[in-house]
Amino acid sequence: MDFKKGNMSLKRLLFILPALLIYLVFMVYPMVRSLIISLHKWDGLSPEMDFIGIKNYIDFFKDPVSYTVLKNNLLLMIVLLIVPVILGLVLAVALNKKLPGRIVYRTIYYSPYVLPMVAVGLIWSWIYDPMFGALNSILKSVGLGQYVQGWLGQPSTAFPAILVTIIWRSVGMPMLLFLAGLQDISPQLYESAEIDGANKFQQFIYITIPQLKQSFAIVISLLIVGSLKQAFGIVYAMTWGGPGRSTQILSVWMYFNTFLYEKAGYGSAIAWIMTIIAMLIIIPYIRIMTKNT
Amino acid sequence: MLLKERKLLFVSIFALLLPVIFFATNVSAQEEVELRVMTVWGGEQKEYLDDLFAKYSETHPNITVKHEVSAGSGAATYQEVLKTGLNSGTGPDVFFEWAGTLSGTIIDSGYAEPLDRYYEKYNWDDRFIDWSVGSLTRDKVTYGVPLTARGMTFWYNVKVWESLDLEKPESYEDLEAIAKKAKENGIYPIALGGKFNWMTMRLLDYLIEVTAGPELHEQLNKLETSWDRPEVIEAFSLFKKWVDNQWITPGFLNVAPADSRIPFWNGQALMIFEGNWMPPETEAAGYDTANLNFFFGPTGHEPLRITGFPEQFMINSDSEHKDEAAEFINWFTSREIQEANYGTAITGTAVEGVTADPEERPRSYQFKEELVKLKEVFPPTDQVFKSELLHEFFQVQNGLVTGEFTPESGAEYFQEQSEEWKENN
Repeated sequence: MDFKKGNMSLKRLLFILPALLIYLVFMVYPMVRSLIISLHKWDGLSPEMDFIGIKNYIDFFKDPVSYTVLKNNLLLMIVLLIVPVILGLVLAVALNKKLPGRIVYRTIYYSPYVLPMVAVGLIWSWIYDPMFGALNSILKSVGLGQYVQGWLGQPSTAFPAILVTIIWRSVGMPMLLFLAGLQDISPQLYESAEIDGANKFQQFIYITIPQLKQSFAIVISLLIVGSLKQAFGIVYAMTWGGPGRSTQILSVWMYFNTFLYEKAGYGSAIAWIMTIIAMLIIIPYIRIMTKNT
Repeated sequence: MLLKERKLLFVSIFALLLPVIFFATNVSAQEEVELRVMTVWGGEQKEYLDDLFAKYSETHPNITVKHEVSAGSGAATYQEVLKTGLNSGTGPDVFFEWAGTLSGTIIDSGYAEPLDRYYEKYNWDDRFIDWSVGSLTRDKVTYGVPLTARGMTFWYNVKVWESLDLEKPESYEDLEAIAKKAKENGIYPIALGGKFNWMTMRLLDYLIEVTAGPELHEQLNKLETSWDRPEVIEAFSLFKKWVDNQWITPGFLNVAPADSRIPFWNGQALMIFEGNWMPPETEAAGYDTANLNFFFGPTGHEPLRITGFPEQFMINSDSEHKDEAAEFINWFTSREIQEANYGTAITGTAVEGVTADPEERPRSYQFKEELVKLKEVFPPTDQVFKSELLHEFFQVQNGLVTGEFTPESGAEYFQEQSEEWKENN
């Protein structure tokens, strides 16, 4: 036996053991436990759980509310993958130049991203307040009083209002990541392109975008996860999934079922459905984007 | 001194000191108890309660009361925080709860200690308003001690009321006439905050009491009769009338209940449907309680009933300090403590004979006087139905506002949901 090699393996294990333990206890165990719970009927409080197999998963796809929830999440994901990405990229390109006060601008555009989701939701709830909110007040003051309405109090405007809030909050992260990516691009590429007669737009399309491939991979992955997970705080604070269930999304619906409807098994199944959806989208995407790197 | 005498001397001294040693060790070994009490009362009331709970330790030196409050919006997250704590074995010793189905799961799961032995020990049956204890008894076992006897009804802004030259309604039709007059004068008849559904529910519950009457309302609540019936459709139609006539503050479906008080206090809305916590809440918000008054919504039925419910303390069945918990509850609900702290730490009481000072807090005093005259109250719907079915009720309630449901389709839908729920539970 090579005693030295064995000793080295043991040393390695000892070094990673603390982090591994934390990972196992706080990440792996809850995941496994929630998977087990999802196979049971349980109110979240009683000592006993009734095993029902995959019935919770089947019931999810039989429930008409699930389609509202999935539709809202899909819309949220599409909007998040387009608007903050484009806005973030435009801002990053603009702020990559030597502008006076660019640090201040970067701070301003990034700061919504560091605010807690619930705080963002509460701030925007007040902006949208039908009687005292800034939005309706501004509309009245500029002669557009006919557009005053209860933005969050009617299904037709509640979800679009939430999308605006989420976009506002989300732009900072892509901007920052694209900015970092832009600063890694060699200026010589642009110089060569200019010499070859490429204009600014062509340089952007043929140099900037391809060179930001890694940044796109990270931004889009984070936005997909964000659409499934992070939007919870905003929707919960702004509309509580209402009016009716018109702004329900997977994460809030999971919360409602687990804690309000006392269907912890069903709620856990929704959590796993969210996880599977995220994995089905992100894993192939990252594989494609990181191919040949 | 001879050895024998020395031994005798030492033994005698030791014998004399023995009681002292025993007493000293007994006192120092007396268990220090931290009694965790969880409530839903935040803000200024929490500060008053913290001061009050600290006084408990003056008469019970080995007990420290630790007051825990669910952060944030209180009522909206409290249940989840409490249940998570109970389930994970970190629940408090004593906890606040509402009555009915809101605490039902806790009882069903075995986390609520039966309290009949303490009722006997402390003679609690003679202490509280009758209906408040009755609401906390299930299958002849009592699981809670009433803290408050709450009633919910129409409160009005006195200045606006008097400016419109209004009188208290004797009938539901009078109430509609009041709403119409307010609206004609540019005042919203009623402010509601429908974000969590339960505030809107209060108005709908009242309308169901109007159209169905006490007996049928009880049968509906127990699912002993169909909800797809004319009386329910009529109640839904009346509710829709309030919505369509814009008698409710705009965009109310997504206004938080606490925020809905602002137009009421500012005089932009005439009435609000709230409970007997309104006078202290009004005072805490810096408004004049002299500008606040109430009437019980007329129903046209006998007996007149309003929405009412007790709030309670329960004891965690996993607690290691059940006796200390009961002793604390006995102290907190004693007449002496309730009277001394009414209006500050305590905003409503279920203790018989305890009222607010009629000079200092006339509205609270008046409300209690009127409340105890009532023969019975009816529980709010969110204490009647379990969460899953309740949220179908809220779907109909909100759908009547958004147009998703007509009164007829809403009644039909809820009856279908009730039948499905009964089949599965």
